Formats: sequence, structure tokens, C-alpha cells
Amino acid sequence: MDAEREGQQAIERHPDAGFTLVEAVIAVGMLATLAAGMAQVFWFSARAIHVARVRTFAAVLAGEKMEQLRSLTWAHLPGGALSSDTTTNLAADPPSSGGPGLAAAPAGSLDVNTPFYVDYASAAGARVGGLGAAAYIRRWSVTPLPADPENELMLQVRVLTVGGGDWRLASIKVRRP
Amino acid sequence: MTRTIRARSQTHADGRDLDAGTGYVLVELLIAAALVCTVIAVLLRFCATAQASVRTAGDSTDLQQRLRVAVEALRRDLLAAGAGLSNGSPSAPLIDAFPPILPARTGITGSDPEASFFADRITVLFVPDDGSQTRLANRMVGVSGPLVIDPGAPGCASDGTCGFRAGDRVLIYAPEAGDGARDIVTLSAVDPASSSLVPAAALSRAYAAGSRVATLVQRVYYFDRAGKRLMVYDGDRSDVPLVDHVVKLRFTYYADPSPTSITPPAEGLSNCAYAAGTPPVPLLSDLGGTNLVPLTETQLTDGPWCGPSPGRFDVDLLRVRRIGVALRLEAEGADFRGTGAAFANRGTSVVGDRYIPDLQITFEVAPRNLLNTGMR
Repeated sequence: MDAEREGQQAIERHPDAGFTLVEAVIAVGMLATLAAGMAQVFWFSARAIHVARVRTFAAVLAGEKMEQLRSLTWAHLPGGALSSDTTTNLAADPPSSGGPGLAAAPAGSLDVNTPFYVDYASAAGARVGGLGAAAYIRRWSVTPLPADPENELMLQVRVLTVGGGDWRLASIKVRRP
Repeated sequence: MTRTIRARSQTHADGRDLDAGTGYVLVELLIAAALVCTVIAVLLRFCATAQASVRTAGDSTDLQQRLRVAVEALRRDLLAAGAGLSNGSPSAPLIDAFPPILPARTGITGSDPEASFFADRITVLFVPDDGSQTRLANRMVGVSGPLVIDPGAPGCASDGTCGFRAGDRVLIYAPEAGDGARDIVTLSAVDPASSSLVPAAALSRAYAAGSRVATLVQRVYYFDRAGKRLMVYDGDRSDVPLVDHVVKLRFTYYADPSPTSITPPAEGLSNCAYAAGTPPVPLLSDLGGTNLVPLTETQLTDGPWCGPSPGRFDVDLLRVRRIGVALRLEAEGADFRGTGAAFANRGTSVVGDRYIPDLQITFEVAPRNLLNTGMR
């Protein structure tokens, strides 16, 4: 019984004893850990917002290039002749002459920066002259479809970000008499 | 000092002995107070940062979402611009008869003067896929007369009125006339027994048999500068804000430089863009080059003109092939906006965790029904 009472006294805290410094430091440490965990939630939130913004801009940039490609002439003339834009340079801002237009792109124009098939944009989505100031790299390709290469084109646009994002857009352009 | 205090405080008022290890020494109190203060300071700082972060995240997300809503709405309607009747033959886009995109506000209320130009307003017209489409069966008896339609036209509902209902916005036009005439009216009544539609207002002319009649979607997007809002108006009664806190909206009209890019009339006939001849003679000048060129306000308001007043339009609008849209939005709260070029309207933010620059985006849309028009 005495041994049992002694053991009980050993684990009972004196009512006025308070906390030791070690206990307080451990408590503060735990609180700090919790706070750090919470802070990470906010960091993830901010990161998600940034990613959403990048995706929005990438989608708009891809869509814009696709619209430019789709606006190039690709038609049958009334007499039956074909009319194809093979002179517009869409890599220039604004688009100018001296480019390939809707001519078939070199192989790999979506994978490497190819003259006339690439342009660059800043983080704010504005066009910039070169890779140095770019946050977005926009590449595109024009590929005649094997089934009807004279009349059917596959248009593809790829937008890459310096952070590793990769977005693609594809469309078919067809002309009929 | 500590010892002195303890020496003076050896007994409590009730006589309880304080020398038995009870109570706290001053150093303990100071350490405890310092710890509590530190914890509270950290917590307060964390709470303040968290609160700012939550508000910033909310405003930033809202800003992006508003941008996406505006871009999607504009892109969707601009892509559809110019879609004409699709049932029966021949089907043709509206641009073969008149421009389906105008740089101004049109409609029943608050319409801009004819042939005016506003860089921050655009009217888009198209016939929806699921809309009613038919032709006039008889010539109208007068400009206010009922529209007697063919209820059996391809795609018509078998209800005697081809699916038209009172309250519908309807387009009536005659592409064969070649003079740009068209009317957009609301139907006040329909009569299935006589297959007639009653317009709520007089038309600009009594249309001939064969003229096209179709339900129409009319969208007017414009910048409410005072309210900082992107507004959308349906040409009738609905005029509502689409997106708040817009600080810039600007449309650019890219045109085919060739005057022959506009659909010519049959040989010997004329239309808005060609004088009669064999072949027809273009009235517009060549803008040079082969690439689409942005049209200036002057080019869009200097004629040649076409269409009956008050619906006249500059014929250059018939060669518009692509629309550029520049849109800029700001954060809702002024406490998230700072000063400098990143902000159209300066705010009160001075700290980094409350700093949301304006979002500006430029995009282009090539309406499918405006492409290759002169080559069909």
C-alpha cells in the first residue's frame, strides 16, 4: 500500500506547481508546427491560384493562335481553283508577309522552336520578341491530312510555360467546292 | 532582488506559509510572461497574415473567374457571328447580305446613331441552330402588315407558324435585293391558322415573297465606363451587367484588304460592294498586301454606305474577317490595388500580401461565317 501511495504521489502534480520551462517550450514548438502546417495550406492555395491564372492565359494564347490560323485563306474559288494563304507570317506581331501561311510545317515544329512557327509571350500574356523575357512559348504546326492533303489540314497549337506547363489545341480546317 | 522579495513575503494574510515551495519567483513570472507574449504575437501575426491571404486569394480567384466569364461569353458569340439560315437551300451566312458585326450598340433602346463607331461596343448577330427559319410565302401588304410565312419550310415545326412565338426576336431580310436591307423586330402575335406573324413595329419596307425570316440572336457587348462593367444587351429589353470591375474593353476589326473578298452578285447585277458589270465591279479600294489589316475608325465611318436608313452601314464592315478583343479587369477591393502601371485605378495597398495587379488579356476570334466569303 505504501509503495502504491508513493507511486501515486509521484505522478500527481502539486496543485501550485505550474508548467516547467521544458513543457512550455514543447507546447510552443507544437503550436509553431501547427501554424507552419496551416501556413502551408495558404501557400498551396496561392499556388493553385497562380496555376489557374497560368492555365487561363495559356488557353487564351492557344486559342488566339488557332483563330489566326483559321482566319487564313483556305478556299475553293468559284471557278474551281484553290486559294491558299502561303505568305502570312504569323510569328510576327502583327502578322506580316514573308511567312509560310498554311504551308505544311517542318516536322517537329511542335517540339522545338522553329522559325515562323513559334512566338513568345510574357507572364502578362503580351507578345515579346524572344525567349529571354518569355513566360510562355507558343508553337504551332500545319499538317495536311493524308486522306485529302489538298483540302484538309490539321492545325495544332502548343503552349509551354517556363514552369513546365504544356497545353495543346488541335483543329481540322477543310475546304469544299 | 528575488531573494529580498521572497524574504518579505514569507507569510500570506491568512497565515499560510509561502516558504514551502509554492508561488512563482519573478524570473519564472517574467519568462512565463515573455513566452505568453511571444505565443500571442506569433498567433496574431499568423492570424493577420492568414486573413490577408484568405482575402487576397478570394479576390484574386474572383478576378480570374470574371476574366474567364467575359472571355468565354465574347468568344462564344463572336464565333457564331454571321450564322445564317441553315435549313433548306441555298443556305448562306448573313454577311452575304449585311454585316453581322457592327461597332456600335443597336436595338430597341439606347441605340447608337446609324453608321457610328465605338471601339468599346460591338453588336453581334446570328441565327441560332435551333431557331425557327422559313421564308415569306407572300409579299407583305404593307410595312406593318403581317408576315405570311411558309409553314412547311425545311426544319419547320408542324404548328402552322414554323415554331415562331409571340415575343420572339425575328430577322427579315432579302439577300437577293443586294441593298443591305434587313429588319429586326419582336413578334407581337402569331396566327397558326393563317401562318402569319405580326411584327410589333413597322418594318423598313414591305418584303417580297421568298424573303428570309428567322429567329435571331442579337448580342450587344459594351463598356459601361461609369459603372466599370461589361454589359450585355439583347437588343430588346434585357440590358444587364455581365462582369464587374472592368477597366478596359476595346475591339479591333481586321479586314481582308482585297475588295473582291466580298461575295459578288450575279453578273449584270449590283450589291452593296459591287457595281453592275460583267464581271461586277468592286466599289471598295484595295488596302494593299495580302494579310488582314486592322481597320481604323475613319475607314469604318467614311463609306461607301449601304442599307436603308436608319440601318445604314459602312461597306468596309463586309470585309471584316477577324475580331481582336482587349480586356482589362481590376481587383474588386481598393485595398488590393496599389499604384503604378499595373493598376488602371490606384488603390490603397502598400503591402505585398494585399497586391493584386490588373489582369489584361488580348485575344482574337475569326468568326467561321465570315471567312472565305468572296470565294464561295
